[in-house]
Amino acid sequence: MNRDNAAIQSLSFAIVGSGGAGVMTAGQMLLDAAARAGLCGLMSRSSGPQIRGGEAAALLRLASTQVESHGDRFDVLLAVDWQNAHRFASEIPIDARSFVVGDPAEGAVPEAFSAAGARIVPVPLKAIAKKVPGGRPNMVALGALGALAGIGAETLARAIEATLQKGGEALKSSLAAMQAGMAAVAEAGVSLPRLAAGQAAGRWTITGNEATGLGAVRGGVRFVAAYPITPATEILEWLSSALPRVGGTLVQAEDELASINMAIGASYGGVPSLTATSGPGLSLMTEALGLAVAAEIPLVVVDVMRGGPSTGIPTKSEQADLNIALYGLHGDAPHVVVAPNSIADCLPATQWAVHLAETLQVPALVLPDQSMGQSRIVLERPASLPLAGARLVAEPETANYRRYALTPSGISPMARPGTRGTAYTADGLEHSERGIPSSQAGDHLAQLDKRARKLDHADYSRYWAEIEGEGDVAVVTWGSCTAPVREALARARAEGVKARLVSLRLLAPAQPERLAAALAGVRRILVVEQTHSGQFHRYLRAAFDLPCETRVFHRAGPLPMRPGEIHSKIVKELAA
Amino acid sequence: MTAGGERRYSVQEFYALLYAMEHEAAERYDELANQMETHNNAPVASLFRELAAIERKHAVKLQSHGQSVQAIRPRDLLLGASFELPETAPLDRAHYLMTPAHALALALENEEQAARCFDALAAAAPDDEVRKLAADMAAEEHRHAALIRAKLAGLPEPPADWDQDLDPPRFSE
Amino acid sequence: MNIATAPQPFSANDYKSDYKPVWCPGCGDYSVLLAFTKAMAQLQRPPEEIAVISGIGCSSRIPAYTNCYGFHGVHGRALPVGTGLKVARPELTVIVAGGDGDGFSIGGNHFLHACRRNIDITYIVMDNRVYGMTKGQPSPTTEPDWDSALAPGGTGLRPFHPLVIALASGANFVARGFSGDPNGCADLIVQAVRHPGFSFVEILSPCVTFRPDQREWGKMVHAAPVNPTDDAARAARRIMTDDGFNTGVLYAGNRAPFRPQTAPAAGLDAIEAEFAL
Repeated sequence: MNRDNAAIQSLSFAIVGSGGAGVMTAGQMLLDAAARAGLCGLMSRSSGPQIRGGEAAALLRLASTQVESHGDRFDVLLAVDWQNAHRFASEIPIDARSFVVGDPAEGAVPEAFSAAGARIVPVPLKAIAKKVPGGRPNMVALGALGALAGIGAETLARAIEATLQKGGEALKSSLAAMQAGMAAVAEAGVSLPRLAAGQAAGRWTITGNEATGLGAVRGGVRFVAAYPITPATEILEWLSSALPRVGGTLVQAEDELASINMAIGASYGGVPSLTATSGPGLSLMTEALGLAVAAEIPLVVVDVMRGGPSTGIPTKSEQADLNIALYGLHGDAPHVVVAPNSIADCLPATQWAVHLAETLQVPALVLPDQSMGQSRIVLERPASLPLAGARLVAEPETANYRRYALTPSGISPMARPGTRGTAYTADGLEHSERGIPSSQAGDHLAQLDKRARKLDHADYSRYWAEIEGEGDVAVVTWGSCTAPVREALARARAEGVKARLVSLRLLAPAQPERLAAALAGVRRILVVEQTHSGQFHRYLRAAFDLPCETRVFHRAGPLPMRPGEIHSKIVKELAA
Repeated sequence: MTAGGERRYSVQEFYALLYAMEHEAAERYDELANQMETHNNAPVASLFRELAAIERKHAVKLQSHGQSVQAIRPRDLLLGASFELPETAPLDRAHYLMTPAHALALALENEEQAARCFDALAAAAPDDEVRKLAADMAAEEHRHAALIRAKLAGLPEPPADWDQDLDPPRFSE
Repeated sequence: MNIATAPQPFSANDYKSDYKPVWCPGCGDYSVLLAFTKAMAQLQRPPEEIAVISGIGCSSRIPAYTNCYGFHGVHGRALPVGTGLKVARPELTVIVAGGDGDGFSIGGNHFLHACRRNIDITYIVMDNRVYGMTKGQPSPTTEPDWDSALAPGGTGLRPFHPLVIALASGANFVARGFSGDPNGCADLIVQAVRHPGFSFVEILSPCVTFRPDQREWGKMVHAAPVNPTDDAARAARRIMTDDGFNTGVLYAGNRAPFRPQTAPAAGLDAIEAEFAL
């Protein structure tokens, strides 16, 4: 039990194994069973570089209430085997209060884990599995962990059944192996505190990437162009089967240059469009993003951030694409950058991005990261948002139609191809109001002003940031750092620190007045972000007025930000 | 003059052919006038515009013969080795520095070619009415050619370096 | 043959905008624009139901010169834009147009995959074997010994063979035209648009400014002496052994065009229900 945390009652489990040990399947079933038992939870994955057979870890945090990030430590580390498991040592912090469940037949607990002084609980997973015809050690592990989490055999069985829907021998042996695992834990005499359970009914399980896809569909996206890239592919895969069911289409492109341009073409045709990628793909897309700015094409590009630069660390998380998202475009190219502040928020943040793109006729970038996209959580069914952003469309036979007319709001009606009397050419060249290429200073200035005005006049008030708490100090953060910051602040508050949380959902256009208002009366802030160079801090310095002393905690990925390390910084930098 | 000359036209079809020729010729001169305007060659632009007006007058006259021929496929009416109708100035003969003399020489070629075409049509015409029409047209084109020839004679020869541009081409994108 | 027909709603001029081209007088692209407008008049498609998509280059300026919906995007990406538009709006006639540098160099990958994907669009490449907008650099189709400031003495590289590559990549219709014959090009464009799937029309379109030698092309082109074939191997053999000035429809295949995936309609609620425990 995470006793350090006053806000979240949780238990954390890590399951490691290699070469087809099935730890991910076991982890998935454990989360599912926990959800059925009325718990909330989070599961993320870590693995070696091998496509198959590599070492893998399922990292779970089960809790009474919704959890969006991992804690500081794991209560249980279970190893189906120890091959290369030491590589996960930094991702699976354990301590003297933890249990290490391992199969003695697989050898001694590696030094990287045994050094923590945790209680070693030998469970002969393989031998137990062997006694069950067709039994597998990962199902024994599931039973063992289920027992430790206080989940009943019946609930575990339902989770297994949900996965092995074909039934038959495989199901039978899995159920028997699971029960044997539960018995082994009972025999070992170890137990953990019980988590208070709620009502499972009405809850969902969803990954960040699925939530992003659903946010897009809820927002009205009906065309997606896809080029696979880790860790964004699951968005595209989910949309591939979801879109045709709502009358939409997904096309697999030959590269990211094609995918974004396909999306631009479809959106030019009047259909809300999206593509999803990660850093390397976003780099290829920046030219076309500028095109969408200049030609005023609504477009959503999701960048599920991974470690960079270059190919970097494709399977792990970092927030270091902030700079390219903000500044990657050449020329003065105002656009929208939205970042979900939690796994659950991938849905509304993406939906909002679609809304902004459509209403402002502008490309909107959405910046979740790997830790959000590829993690699965249990949550209450997400509420519907009143965001039905429809673009302003030109009426047929509009007299003297000017696509890029200089309206007070900056938003000018966009003709849908097929409409009589409003044909125009969308152009990436600077243009006149009619869309005719122009290198005249007057046209350039007028169109630059127009494109800036659209974004300046938009109403971001409802969603631009999450602002929580009271106090004369504050943590300013964004994205996946928000959940551990929130948890760290809860601890600090329990210790008497009065602090606010400001998590920006809208990164661009910058909202300096709003941030200043949110920080009114604050004497000191701590900026928290997961970059090596402090990109967010520099951006705040450049585009916002920080009305107070500013301290910074930034560090590179790929290890997740822990509430504990943030808490220490809060104590050191803000509580003094 | 082969394909067109061998074809046996009815009077109505002959009018359609005439209309197509004059219409295309007028459109083409207008196009060339536009090109010259865009490239700041005003004297040649106005010359092409004049030629366009003349051809258009013919086209309008022919249209009054009651046959609308908007959808005619000029390719079916190709005469001789050229890609286009005999009175149509080839687009690739344009040059932004071309002089009025060049423009008139081009127009002369068109008229002469049209005249030759009608001569051939008249010779091959299956009935008297078409033969007379073709002969009239041939005479008219010969008359035009003579007029242009006379006008051309009054113009100075283009200088030898007429296509020399003191500046290199510009970058655009 | 009926050479005179009843009046039709759209004439070639209805497809022309009042914005005047900036191409050099004498440029083949003027003829291609003319051929395009004539072709559309033959097809009698209302201008607003046609979209002309391009990238960057002299010839890529063509959309704004038409009265159709146009899109003038970035260099080399016209085919993806056209692909996205056609998939999203299949009822539109989508014409993608551009030059040899745009289509075969920076956009080369898209060319291969557009042929492969076989979406029902028409791709017109005005090939002048040179980059004109940047003042005369060799393109993928330039002869290896063509001298230029960027490649003094020539590139020494074998020219790209777009028609063969289109065929090998799966284009369903392959034709070559010559800009000096706008009526012939119009016919090719009409056939290309009517043919299902991806239709590729290469139009030899001289650059009078940087390739004045191409003024000779008019004497070199000749109609293909054979009828189009639906046998890709035969077409490939012909195209690979001809002199590069053979015009006409060289291949008209029977591949079924791209169809996006479909699924039984479901409400958003049904999709969301899959996330429920």
